[in-house]
Amino acid sequence: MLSKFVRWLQRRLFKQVPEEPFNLAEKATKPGRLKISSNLNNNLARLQELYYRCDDTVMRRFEIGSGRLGGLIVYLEGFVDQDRVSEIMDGLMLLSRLTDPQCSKMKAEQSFDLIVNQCLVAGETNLVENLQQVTQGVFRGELALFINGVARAVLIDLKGYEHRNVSIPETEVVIRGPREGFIEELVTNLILLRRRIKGPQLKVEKIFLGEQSATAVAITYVKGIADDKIVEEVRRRLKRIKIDAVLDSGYLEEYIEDAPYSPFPTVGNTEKPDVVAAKLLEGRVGILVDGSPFALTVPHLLVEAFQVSEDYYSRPFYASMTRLIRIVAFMITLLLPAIYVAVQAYHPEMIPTILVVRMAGAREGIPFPALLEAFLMLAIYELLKEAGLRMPRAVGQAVAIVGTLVLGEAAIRSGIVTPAMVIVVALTGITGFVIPPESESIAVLKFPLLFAGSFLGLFGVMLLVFVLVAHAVSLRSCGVPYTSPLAPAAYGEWKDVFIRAPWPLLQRRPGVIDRQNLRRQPAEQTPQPSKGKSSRLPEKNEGSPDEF
Amino acid sequence: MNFKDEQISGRQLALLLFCILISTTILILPALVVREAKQDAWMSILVVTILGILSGLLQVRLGCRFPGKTIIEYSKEITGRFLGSLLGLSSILLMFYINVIVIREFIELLKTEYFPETPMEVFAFTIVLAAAYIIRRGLEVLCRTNEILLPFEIFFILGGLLLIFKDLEFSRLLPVFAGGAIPVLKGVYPATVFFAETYLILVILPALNNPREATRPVVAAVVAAGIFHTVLSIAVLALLGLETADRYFSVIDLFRYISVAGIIERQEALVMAIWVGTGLVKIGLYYYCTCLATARWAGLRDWRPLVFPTGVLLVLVSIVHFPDISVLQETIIKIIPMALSIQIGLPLLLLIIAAFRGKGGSAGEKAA
Repeated sequence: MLSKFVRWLQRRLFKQVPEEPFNLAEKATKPGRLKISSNLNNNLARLQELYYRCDDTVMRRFEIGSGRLGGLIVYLEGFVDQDRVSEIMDGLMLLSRLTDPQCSKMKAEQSFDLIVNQCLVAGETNLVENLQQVTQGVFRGELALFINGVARAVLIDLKGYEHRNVSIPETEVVIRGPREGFIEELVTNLILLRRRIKGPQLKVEKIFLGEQSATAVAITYVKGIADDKIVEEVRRRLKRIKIDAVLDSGYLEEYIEDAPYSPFPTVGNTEKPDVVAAKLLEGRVGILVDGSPFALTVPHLLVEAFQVSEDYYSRPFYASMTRLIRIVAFMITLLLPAIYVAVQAYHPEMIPTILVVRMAGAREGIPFPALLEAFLMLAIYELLKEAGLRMPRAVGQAVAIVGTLVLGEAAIRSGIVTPAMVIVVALTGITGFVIPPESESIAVLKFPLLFAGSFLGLFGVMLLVFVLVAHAVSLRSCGVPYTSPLAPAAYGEWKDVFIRAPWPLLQRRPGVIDRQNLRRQPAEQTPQPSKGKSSRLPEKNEGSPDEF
Repeated sequence: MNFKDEQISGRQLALLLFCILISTTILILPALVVREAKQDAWMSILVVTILGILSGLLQVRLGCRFPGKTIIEYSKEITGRFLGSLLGLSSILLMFYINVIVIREFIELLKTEYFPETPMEVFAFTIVLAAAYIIRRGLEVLCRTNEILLPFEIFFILGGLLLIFKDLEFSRLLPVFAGGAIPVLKGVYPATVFFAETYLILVILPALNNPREATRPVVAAVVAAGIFHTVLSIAVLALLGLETADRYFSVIDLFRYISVAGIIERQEALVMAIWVGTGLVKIGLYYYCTCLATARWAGLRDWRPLVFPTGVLLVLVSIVHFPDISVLQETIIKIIPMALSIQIGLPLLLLIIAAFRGKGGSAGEKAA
């Protein structure tokens, strides 16, 4: 209902421009269906025209063998591995096979095949026939080789460029567990994943998205575990996307989300390959985007806001406790300001008498109503948080000092806020960090809850909670109910929701996501002390008489 | 026509029925029963539970005879077009009227106990708006919402009982069975209407994913609600004694008198938390059933367009119809005969006629 309204509003406000071919670059250059000519000079001229003012393209003419065949290589400077280029050139220009007199009698086509099949020391080669493909390849880091007299070209994958090394992800810090994080390069990210799930059952489907960016996007899933319907749905949703550029996986997230106008995220993201591997093994689908260290996972459920990778690496009691703490913290960060304002304004009888007297005393002389006070403090807190994130490290201390002094001490002394409100806001802020960052957007709901609490007391808070729960249960992520296994309830799976049961007990994958290969591992794998047999003193065999 | 996309499980139905059996009732039932049965009120409730099971079975039996159909359709099938339409209309009106009463009780509770200065229009509007938001998303969403919130509400109630336990004086329950069976049976009368509310399954039964197995959830819900009310009425009696009869919202006192170590005191706001959760589910379910039944009665393809007009009517009638809380109380007593005749009498009548005229297959025959 809401989303329809928003869409309607969008249409009214921003009148949609009639579809026009927005890809101007393509229009101007029109490499279109241009066939490769068999005349090398023609090709060179055309390419020079196409790559006019692209000074980082390298086009080099050279002679193959003993100067019999004309050759042309085209590549992007810095995008390909320079050493490998030299190697290839070496092979083409100096290798004896091509200087061999027999070869010199061959036609151009035959030499081309010979070169492709025997002389190119490279893993991936690709034969193409038109200039558009050549252009695509060159700008993806491939090297194009033309031979005079042949109306084809060969693309050789020599990608090699600078990128960040695999390092510790900053958003998901773990104390125990793998510390590798994804980087901005897809190939490396896929290897990080492949190292964890070995074998061809881990599928990687690559598609290219973005008219300008042509970003490689990989859909990954484990065949036999992931539900085919979900995989198909993800594939369909991704292929449908028409977008200018994909600079980060966040772009795609909003296109494949089930509920883009909801505060609840229905697509998960993570920076850690072990988390993606674990989610793939639960039947989810991962989406890796070239240029983004954040992988997306779908379906994403509400309970994942409380599941952190470390839960599964540390001992179950501790993990269960931290998970419960996380749930409580989530409640606090959402509800505490609202409940505080509501109780203070409408239900003071709930608070112990001494405290209520003290609180009323503190409120004496405060000019603002509790709502404004709370809203002001929360807003300033968010401001400080944002400032701390964006500013250079060196100035960070200044923010901390301003935060503690101005907001804490001075604000209370000058009678702008009450001490209790500072505590409430501080608690709200701290607990807000406990839930994983991907679910932080849910915490925005504390503002509407605060308003409900201040206008209608606890009734308003409860009413809004009720509506929010109803909203959450009505969501679906790729067809899976967002709140499962809470509702529709699957009590068997609660052992991985509120607590984290020991691994030997987690025998089944989540049934709502995965319907075909439910069993994760056989039962009863905990070591049992073998009874009697290995004990030091062998028991006397009472039943049988001595046979010796 | 509308149920293809709506599937609820047996467990969800049980939780839903349990919720509507306890929600309004939790506050006003003890007072109504104690007025008649005195300190034996809890016995009345036990008796009512048995009646509730019987009426639930009756309603399930009727519903199962006509799989995929609601009472609106099979009342026509059984008694003919004209009479059937009238009977259908009567049950729609009852649903609407009970909903109005529930909403008004809710408003009165909020006004008298928590927000004396807020105009009641605000409450009527927000409650109905929230309910409308939910039911537009369908029965499934209502069930799931209930599934998530009900455990918390039960936790609150049990927590309240635990905290008040030290203040209970069970001697107030004595003498047991002093007046003989008559007062106990008198107490049964006002309570039955609350337990016969399972009659909503005559509308929602087709949404059950396995309609033939409706008996278990219905019986389970009634039994659980019966135990729940028995325990609660014992607690209220042990706290207030015969004074219970004069307190309209007697369970609130249960939470008001909480005082543990001078820290946890007067937790009556928790009652509101319970009420909002369970009450909204009840209002939502009645609201949904009213809209759905009306749509079918009028032969509409979709019930959703009815949500808005029904909501406006609910807000208006709940405000205008009762001048104050005493009229509300009188009305509740007054409509009992009519309500019972539609909740229990009508299904019984329909079942007998259907059996006589051989309409609809019995559940067993359909399965075979």
